[in-house]
Amino acid sequence: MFKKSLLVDMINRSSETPADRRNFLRGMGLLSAGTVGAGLVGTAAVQSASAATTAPSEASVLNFALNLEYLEAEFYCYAAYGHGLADALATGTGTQGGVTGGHRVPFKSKAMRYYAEEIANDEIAHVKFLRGALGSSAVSRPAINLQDSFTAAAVAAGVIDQGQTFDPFSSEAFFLLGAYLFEDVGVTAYKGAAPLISTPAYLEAAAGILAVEAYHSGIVRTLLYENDLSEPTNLISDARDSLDGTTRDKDQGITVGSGGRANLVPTDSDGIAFSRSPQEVLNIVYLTPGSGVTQGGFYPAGLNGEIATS
Amino acid sequence: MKKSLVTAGVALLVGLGTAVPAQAAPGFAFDDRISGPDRFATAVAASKLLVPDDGSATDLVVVNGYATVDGLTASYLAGLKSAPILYTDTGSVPAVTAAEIDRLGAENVWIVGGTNRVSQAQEDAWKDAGKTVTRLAGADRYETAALVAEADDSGLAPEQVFIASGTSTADALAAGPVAWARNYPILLTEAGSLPAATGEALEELGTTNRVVLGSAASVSDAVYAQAGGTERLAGQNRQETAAKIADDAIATEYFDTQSVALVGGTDATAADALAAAPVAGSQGVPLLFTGFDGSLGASTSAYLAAHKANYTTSGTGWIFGGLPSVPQAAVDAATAAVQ
Repeated sequence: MFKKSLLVDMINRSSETPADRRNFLRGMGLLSAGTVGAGLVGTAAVQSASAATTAPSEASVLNFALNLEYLEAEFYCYAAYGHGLADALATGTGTQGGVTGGHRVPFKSKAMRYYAEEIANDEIAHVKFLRGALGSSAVSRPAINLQDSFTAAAVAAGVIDQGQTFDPFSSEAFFLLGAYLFEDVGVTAYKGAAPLISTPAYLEAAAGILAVEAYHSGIVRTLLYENDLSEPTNLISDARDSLDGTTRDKDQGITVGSGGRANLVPTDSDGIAFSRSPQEVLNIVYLTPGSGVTQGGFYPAGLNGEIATS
Repeated sequence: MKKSLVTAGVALLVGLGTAVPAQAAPGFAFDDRISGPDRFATAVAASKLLVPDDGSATDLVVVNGYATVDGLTASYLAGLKSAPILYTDTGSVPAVTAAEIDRLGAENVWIVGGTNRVSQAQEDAWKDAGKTVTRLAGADRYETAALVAEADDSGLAPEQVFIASGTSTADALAAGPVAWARNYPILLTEAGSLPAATGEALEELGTTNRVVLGSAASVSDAVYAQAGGTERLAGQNRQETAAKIADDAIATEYFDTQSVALVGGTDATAADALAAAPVAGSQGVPLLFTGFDGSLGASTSAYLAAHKANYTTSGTGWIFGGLPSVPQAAVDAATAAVQ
């Protein structure tokens, strides 16, 4: 158990804003004479003592992750269960937005339904975990678009032609392609955020979430390969690579060469997963490369929190 | 260690460290009525909600619109195929149904019930139109239900089965959305004895999680034991049993806390409940029955009042069936109950 003074000090050094600081303290019961034990849902507090002055705070990083988890949770919740997160799981700081699009995938295979449900439950759990960790500093769910965004992404990738519609909820195959668009981004986003987190408890939790996202990615990539969907999948990979705004190749499709050899684990030459900075991730989810972008794509009103501009 | 399905389901509802609103958000109302001039058209309206894009269905389940007991368990089959349920007459296909079949463009037609319910001529016509037609029909409702329950060829046993009365059909209908969404077969029984076909199906399926629907008056304790029941969801009447099923659907089956649907509670409106199962299941919306007299009914009113904190404008208040089935006064009472 952390001492109260240590927790207050950590929060003072790491919260996004003075208001965040007050919210953290209030959420933990540290603004009252109450004891410390019941704070932060069994996790350590947020800190960024070693971060450079220009680096985002850990709270900002976790809220950035929460924004991404909202997107994944809504996507999978609709796909698996036909509805989104309960409103009670979408509250918080910033402007709470609605979700456009989304419906249950018309599953033909029980196994595919099981995959979707398992991943949905994990993503919902990630939302709950991060919201619990952030307490009253948690950002609310921003406006999320699960409709036009996918079509725009699919057009950009060359998966469909201009004027056509890509609905990732319309079939099991399209669902896998939609999931693929997210999963590798999640893996690279968590790995890229790792250097911004120094509190051991949060670093461990983030590593755990990264691992789960990588499991998801592996499942999705394998299913895409087994279902002969390498061509559109590789196009999406190329599109992500272009969108992230870097010259370095941080994305890989699910096949290599012309013979269709599987490439199910995207890694660098050392067998290590790629990293993307928050700005590179924003470029992808906003579907807009470049800097200074504040909204677009899957987040028509932008992300909530400090990390929202590419 | 295995993940806890039940815990995950409950957690989905309550959030973590987040308070639910103290009362329903202003504006939640039962204002989305899915209906047509008759049961056939109501089923078509529900089908269009489930499959809005023309030509995008692969499968379709057809049952007799006046003998829904044969199709009582069709919700499970429809769920396996992510399909709607449409009604036909014994000898001919009503025009509204025929038009919907054309619109859906489904390649596979699944008939539940014998040729005395859905004629051979209809089956032949669909085959002539190039569709693959499969008929599931037993000697009686119990055997038909058993055949439907064993229709899954995935090799994965159902995670749960429902066992409900074959004569008091409301309980099976209330579970329809869950059966559709979660692929839980519904087997039927007599109140005092377990039909052989049902017993054999239970053995064949191998599913040990067996939820009995309805009170001991519908499924006796002896049958519960003989069937290997593991849980009973039952109330004092069909409305209360439906409410228990709704609670269970929300707590353990990932149904939406923020939405709910009303359907007529009389035997005459059973067709609307069955037709509602696919679209309600696809959006995780539990079904509640109105009272026998056309009012909202005390049990349903109490359920809605107890859950009003969950209902927000993000959710939907559905009504399945026309005004004769669910009078507007009952709808207004439901809206009032959640304020």
